[in-house]
Amino acid sequence: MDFISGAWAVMKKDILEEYRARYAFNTTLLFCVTCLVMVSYSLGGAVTDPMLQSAMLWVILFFSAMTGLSRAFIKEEDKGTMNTLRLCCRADHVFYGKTAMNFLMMSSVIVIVAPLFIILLNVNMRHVGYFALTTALATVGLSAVSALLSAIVAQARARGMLFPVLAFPALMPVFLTAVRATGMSLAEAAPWTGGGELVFLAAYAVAATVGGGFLFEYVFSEQ
Amino acid sequence: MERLLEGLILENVGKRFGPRPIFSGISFSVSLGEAMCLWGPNGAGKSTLLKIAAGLARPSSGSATCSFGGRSGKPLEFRNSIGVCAPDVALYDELSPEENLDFLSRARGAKRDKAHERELMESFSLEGFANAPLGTFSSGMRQRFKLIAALAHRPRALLLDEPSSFMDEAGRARVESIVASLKNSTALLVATNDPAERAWCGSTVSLGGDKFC
Amino acid sequence: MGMLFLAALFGFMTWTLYGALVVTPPAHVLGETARIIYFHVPVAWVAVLAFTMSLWNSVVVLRRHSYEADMKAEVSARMGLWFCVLATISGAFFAKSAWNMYWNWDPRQVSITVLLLVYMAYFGLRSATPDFDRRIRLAAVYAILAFAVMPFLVFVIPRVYMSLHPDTIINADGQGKLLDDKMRLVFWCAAAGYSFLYLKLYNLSVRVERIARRKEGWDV
Repeated sequence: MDFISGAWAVMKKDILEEYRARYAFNTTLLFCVTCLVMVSYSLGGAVTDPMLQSAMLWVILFFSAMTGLSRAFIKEEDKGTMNTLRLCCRADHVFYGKTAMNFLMMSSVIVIVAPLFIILLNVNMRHVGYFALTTALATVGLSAVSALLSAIVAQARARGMLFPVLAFPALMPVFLTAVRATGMSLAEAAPWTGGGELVFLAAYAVAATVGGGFLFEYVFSEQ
Repeated sequence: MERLLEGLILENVGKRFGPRPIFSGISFSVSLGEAMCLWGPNGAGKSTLLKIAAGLARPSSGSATCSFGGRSGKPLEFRNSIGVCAPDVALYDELSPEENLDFLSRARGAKRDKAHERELMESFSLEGFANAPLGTFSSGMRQRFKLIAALAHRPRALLLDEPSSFMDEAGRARVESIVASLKNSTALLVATNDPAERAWCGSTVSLGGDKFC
Repeated sequence: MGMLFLAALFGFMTWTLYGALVVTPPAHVLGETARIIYFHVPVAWVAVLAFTMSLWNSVVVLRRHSYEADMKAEVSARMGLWFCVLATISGAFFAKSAWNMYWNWDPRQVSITVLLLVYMAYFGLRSATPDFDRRIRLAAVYAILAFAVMPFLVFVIPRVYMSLHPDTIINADGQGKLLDDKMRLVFWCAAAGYSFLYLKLYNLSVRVERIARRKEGWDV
């Protein structure tokens, strides 16, 4: 399908670039791990409430995402390759390719950070499947919205500061719901009460990818 | 304007940055086999006008369209028919020429003509560097590769912004001969303030003085 | 027409003021302090109205690249922001009198804070984009994105998280908070009055903005 091969072309290019430079992944991972270590150290092994542990994890992940995912389009604009993308690719291919790349990067970071989180904060992960599923869905929503906002910010000034300012309100729904969902996966009760959170995260993921793809056209193309 | 024309069509195009106008009322068309030069001093808006023709910038007034294969529309819809080589259009430094060309063809959804690419690489003396990252190239080599990337998919319209920049004598001669070989089958638009490049073209639009020449 | 509008506005607001302070009885539990609802709720409602107008104009900006629509979107967003600030402050005073704390991060207070941040981000984005054509498009996209997030903030959060905030009119489920007829009448008068006030202010602001932009050389 033309659509998938187009998006894959963009993603493949990003993967190659990232593999050679390894800038975004390294900084994101390093930031995440550093924060986690600092939090764990300052808690000093104190037993904490599952909701609090969940909140700490997601605060760390979100700030890491702010540093790591904002570069998606800023780099393209700075190097002048944004015009190349405009000339050769369809807007929606670029959006979905970048969203997929963001997802790949954040998932890779989370795969490394989640076990560390469990170890360093003495977390009792009771429902792994639920945690994995809700985290994956939250990451999809996060990736799509970050891609759109990165494209917006790349065309403005004061990018570094502007991105978190724009992103925080837009990502609040994911953030709050993910905190609740993860809290439930750490807590006593079985999370069949967590159905609402799952549905919401899925709905947000769908809305973000579809809506984002639609709005992206207006951000990306000059015409 | 005749709609049967195959090529680039600009109608009453104007551009301003803020309330300050750069140019206005520019209308011309470049069809296959024609070559048009955008001429003017630095800051006159030649690059901007070229970008408008390519679909990379939005005109403040007027419109820029293309017509190929009986269909007309905005330039960006004709990804496979237009090739652009300009300072603002860069390629990927971490990737090699081979990987760059692979990406460009996949993105366009077009098949690669590897024989043609090899031919171009040889004619610009870059055949030995096909797998080295673009970041290791000199500025002259990079400019040559940009031209290759603009020509690789055999576009019907070629938009060049100061194509000979960074090039030595041999490079310039090479560019001139390639342009000469393509002139009859391509619509050529060249933005420049180099008289040698202007000489390739049949007609000129002068900016930063008289609007139309 | 204009005179009729002004007369209606004057009438509504006077009646609201008089009604709120003199005519209506004190509320069931909250007593005299409940009178603030004749101010707080309409102002919050107007903020939502302003944001809706901003959204509508942003959609027009994207579809037609209209400078006129961008001007209206900016004006209504600015007014929405001001009314939102008023709603927040009046809410804080209400919180003080009802729950003895100006601010305790009650879910509704969280929602209104995020809403303020959204619209401040909108203006931050506008000022960070020097190119005018880009600015109107990027701002319009962000306005649409922000508006999509709003239902979550306004409706979902307060339901999911236990909130001390009284149920809103929108959530009326027959419990009838405004039992008294007089209270209901004054309340609706207030809603109409503040809406008319907003429309008048909006009208004036658009005219001022138009002049300001024309002075800068834009064709609006």
